[in-house]
Amino acid sequence: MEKLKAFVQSRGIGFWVSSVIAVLMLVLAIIYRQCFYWSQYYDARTLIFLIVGLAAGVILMVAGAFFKPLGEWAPAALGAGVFLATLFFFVGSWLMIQDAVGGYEHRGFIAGFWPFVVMAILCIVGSIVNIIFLRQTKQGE
Amino acid sequence: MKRQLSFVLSKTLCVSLSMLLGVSLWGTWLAKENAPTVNAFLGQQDFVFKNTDGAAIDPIKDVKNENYPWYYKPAHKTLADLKKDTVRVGEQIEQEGAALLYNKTGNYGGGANTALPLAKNSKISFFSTGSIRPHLAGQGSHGVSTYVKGEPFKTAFTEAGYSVNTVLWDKYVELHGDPSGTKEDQTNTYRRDRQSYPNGSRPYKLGDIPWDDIYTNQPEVRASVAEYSDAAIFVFTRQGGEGVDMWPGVFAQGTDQENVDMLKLTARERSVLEGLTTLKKEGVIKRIIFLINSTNYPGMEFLSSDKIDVDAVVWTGALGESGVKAVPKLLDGTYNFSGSLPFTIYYDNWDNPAVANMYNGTAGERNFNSLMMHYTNLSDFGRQPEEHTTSYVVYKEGIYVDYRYPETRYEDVVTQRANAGGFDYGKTIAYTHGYGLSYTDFELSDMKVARVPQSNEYKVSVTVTNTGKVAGKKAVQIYAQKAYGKYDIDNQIEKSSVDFVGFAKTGELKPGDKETVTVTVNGRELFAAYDANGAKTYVVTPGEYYLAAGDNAHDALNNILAAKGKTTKDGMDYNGDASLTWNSKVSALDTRTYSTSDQTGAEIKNLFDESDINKYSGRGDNHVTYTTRNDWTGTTSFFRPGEQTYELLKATAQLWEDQVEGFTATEAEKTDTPYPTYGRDYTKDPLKDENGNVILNKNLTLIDLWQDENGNPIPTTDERWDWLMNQMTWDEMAKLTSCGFRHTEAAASIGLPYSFNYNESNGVANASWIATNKGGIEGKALAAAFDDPDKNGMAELWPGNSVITATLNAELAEECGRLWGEEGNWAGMAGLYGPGFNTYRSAYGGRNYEYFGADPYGAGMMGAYVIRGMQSSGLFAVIKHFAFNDMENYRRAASVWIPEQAAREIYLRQFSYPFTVGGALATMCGMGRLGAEPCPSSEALISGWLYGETGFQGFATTDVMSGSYNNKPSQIKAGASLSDDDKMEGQHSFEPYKPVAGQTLGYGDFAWKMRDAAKHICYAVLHSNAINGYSAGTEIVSVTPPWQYWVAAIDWTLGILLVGSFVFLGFVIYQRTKSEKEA
Repeated sequence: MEKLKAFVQSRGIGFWVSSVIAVLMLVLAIIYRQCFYWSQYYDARTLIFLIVGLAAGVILMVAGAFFKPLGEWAPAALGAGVFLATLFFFVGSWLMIQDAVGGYEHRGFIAGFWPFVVMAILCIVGSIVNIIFLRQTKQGE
Repeated sequence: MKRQLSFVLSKTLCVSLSMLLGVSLWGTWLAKENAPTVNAFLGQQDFVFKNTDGAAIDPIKDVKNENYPWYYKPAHKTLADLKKDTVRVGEQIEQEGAALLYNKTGNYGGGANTALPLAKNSKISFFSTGSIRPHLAGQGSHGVSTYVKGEPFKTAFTEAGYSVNTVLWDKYVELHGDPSGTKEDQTNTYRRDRQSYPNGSRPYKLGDIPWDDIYTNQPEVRASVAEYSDAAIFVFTRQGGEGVDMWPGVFAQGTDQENVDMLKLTARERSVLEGLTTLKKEGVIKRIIFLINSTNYPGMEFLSSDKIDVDAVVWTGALGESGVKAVPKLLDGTYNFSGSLPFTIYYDNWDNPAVANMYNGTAGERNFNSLMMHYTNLSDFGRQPEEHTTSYVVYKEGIYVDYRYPETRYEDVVTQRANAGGFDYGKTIAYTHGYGLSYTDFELSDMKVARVPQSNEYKVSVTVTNTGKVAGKKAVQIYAQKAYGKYDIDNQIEKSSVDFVGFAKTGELKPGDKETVTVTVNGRELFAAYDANGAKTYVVTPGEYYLAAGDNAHDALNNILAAKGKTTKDGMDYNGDASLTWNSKVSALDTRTYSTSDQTGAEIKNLFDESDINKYSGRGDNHVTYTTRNDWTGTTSFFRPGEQTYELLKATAQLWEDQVEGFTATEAEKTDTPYPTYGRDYTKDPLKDENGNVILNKNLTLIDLWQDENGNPIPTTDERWDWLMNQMTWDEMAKLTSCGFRHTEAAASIGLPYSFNYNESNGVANASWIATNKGGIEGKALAAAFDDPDKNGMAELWPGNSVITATLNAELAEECGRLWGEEGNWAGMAGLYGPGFNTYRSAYGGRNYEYFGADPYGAGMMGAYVIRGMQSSGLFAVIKHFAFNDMENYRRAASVWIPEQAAREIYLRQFSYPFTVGGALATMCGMGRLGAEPCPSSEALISGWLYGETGFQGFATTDVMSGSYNNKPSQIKAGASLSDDDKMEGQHSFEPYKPVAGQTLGYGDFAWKMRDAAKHICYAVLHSNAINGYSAGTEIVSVTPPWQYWVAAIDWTLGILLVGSFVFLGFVIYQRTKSEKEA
């Protein structure tokens, strides 16, 4: 318990941002699975990159307690995961985007599309800021 | 501070370059996955021509060379010459296809005792925004870049000598807005936009201007109408389009749209017609002409209104750019009408039983999803209604499509069949199939029928006499009636009272002239019906069989009823002419004569049990009672908004698995069939016979299989095709069969040229001669190769395909096709994704203008003549959408449940003529499902019916990007050849089945199917203008297109920069650490 308390107290603001991003990535994965899995716009690589990025990020966040430099790579892992997931999200959704923007059927976007896009952008931007400007541990730790 | 800045800068550099490199690598991967599309977009190719013989001709560069080997030589020397003919034929199609439906008798002044023809140089006023924005063509794939160019009606009528009310015209333009504008304006309630989508976010509106706003409150307009009063022409238009059907109800939005059915008159339209009727009564105008400029025809219930009194009704269909010129000449008698409606017009479209199973009348929300019919128990599977994969449509009406329903029920009422119900034909049908009046009168007589010895063909001859006062043409229509007796009832075989089986058109007959026309009727058309439950093949059941000549379907039926001794006393609306009938009695059931294919000799048996919900192996408790003439009242449904009129189905575990999961993974199986030969080089490995004699010691090229010694095409069953295919590599075949987005790939090993295929349904409309062809082979577009002065112009915008059908002029249809082919040649197109052969189940079909009509024989045969013409000019037809894609709302992945008799006798029958008579070289499968199975993956449909029964030799492709809900290996297994899709994942999906060096056994069956698929593609391309310029010395060599080098260079550059940025970061970290330690 003491060790946990010390761990928490030693975390920098970047760690907490990474935590939020990790939670968002989990939500993204759930949204994607629920809303897209049954549709023709599903691309498995999106989910894979989200999960792998999330897992790597969390492992690095925890490992940072034992070896500080590892923890500093957590935001990069999270950011890479959500960034690559987003790229393949658009690969899978391309037909829907084409239709919604200028296709013959103008059917619009399926539920979950815009929440995914907004949250993904937040995660990517958050990761960039986290990598460049924020520390995962407090200075001096 | 400086160090902190460096740290931030270095991290920023790393992150930015990482993202850039990530996007670049992703983009490179995506571009390579869609390489054929990128090639076409950039005008680059992955092959070049190499002349092995210095004297050989380059197929692209040497078009002007006098030794250029032409296989399909253009018949016209210039585009200007071609344009003269396309304009002439376009106008002639409208001239002979437009149908006069009503022509009131009365005193119209100047000696005229009918509303039409108008006097020459009449002064007319156009009403409705349809007049300034007419229906020339449709939307979507058949995309016209601007809705309307110029002022077609005003120009055409003015050039024909009319005086057009320009005050009124200009007022319409002022209130409606620029009719050529493509930008929708949702704030202008007058505006008729091209197509609006009732999905809740874009309100649907038909627009138009109510009477008070266009007339009552416009004093200058009132004065002008009084002057231009010879006729008020009301132009009824509805613009159909790809992806969206017309709606029968529920979704109309807008400020004052009382009607909720897109095919009923809106309140505004009614107000105009009522206003005009009042003006006529007051003597301000002389007559009202109702012009149906639409392939989505209205319900004509307004004709019985006492407030609306029109004097003439004319159907023009989609006019095209030259067809509009025929309209004024038809109205003033310069041309005489001779068109025959290719469908049936109801007073109320809701009385068409097919509509009951087209829409969910209880839908409350305004979006596509709720309008569609979804399985009722989706929540059991954790699903929500999701437009396509959870939706279905049941063809409950079976064979009773179009005239077959009303005509059959009419007979059953007259003959007092039980449960015929209180059906009033006269109040249900306004104009039946084949209907069309003339300015003259014709008499049909001397009908003779003779069987052609030693065949199943019957020659039917009829004499036509012009008994009127002006010249005209007459289309003679022959209908058949099959016996309907105990065997039919016991085995649920439905029979229509009349079935269109033949036609012929006279030349122009002057008053008093006569002409005897002869029609050949195939015995199969006359006698055979499909017995899906008893014999499970085509049968001839005992009873009386009739042939009848008539002016239309109803007329022919009345003649048959007259032959049966029925009169008006029995409830007929008029007495028929028994002398225009012939009959034959069949005494015993025949299950053999028509049980094999005429084309292939293959035995015909049930193929589509799994697409009949009552027989589907995963049906569960589902059961549909199909409409039967044995019980009209108990089995016929009608659409009524607010009511649930469609068949409710539940998904079962198996259905769900088949429908949703099945397309995601269908693997090929391992078999004992050896792999075919790949990459054979006959110069090194000659082909020998069993005695060791060399048969072939040089490599073949595709052009070697062009024709045999007698000038006939070499069929794909010839062994020379096997010799050729042995030369192809696996990779070439995989690429050829998986990458086919509006083109087919080249193959170096056999000299297979690239072919550019254009997506259009009637002609190459809207194509610019050179800009459309971006396949990097613009030089092959003759317009560019010959540097024609008109090369920057565009091809003809043709009248709609159903107008072609309405002409019933086979020679005209074939001439039209030849010109389509010619245009293809000039534009560098080898294939056309068209024409379309889906069936008009109702007037609501969004793409009706692309299809030929409602009757399988009339539409199919006329389309077949067009195909014959276009392919003779070197443009191969990829007819679509095969099959059962008869509605747009359901086209993507929704299931069609249909009984086999209807599938064969109506929907597949319309496709059969283009294949067997027209010789269509390719087809595009529908996006939907037949039963639970995607059409391109349906072995029953592709291998079983298409190749097995029609003798088809060409290729079957998917519709666009069908790979997202379709599985490429399963398509190959089913017999389909090509994906209209350029994702390389298709090619990758074949990799597991590829033999390694020396491997002989594995996925042999799949490999042979893929080889057949490649062969079919080669066959179609061989018989197209793609082979112009090829000779034995022409070689194709694969190269890497330049863009791939560029993207690789970008990737490497970014990669090096990224490495550099990490080195820089490492240096900065080292410096920081060092200075911290020192501190």
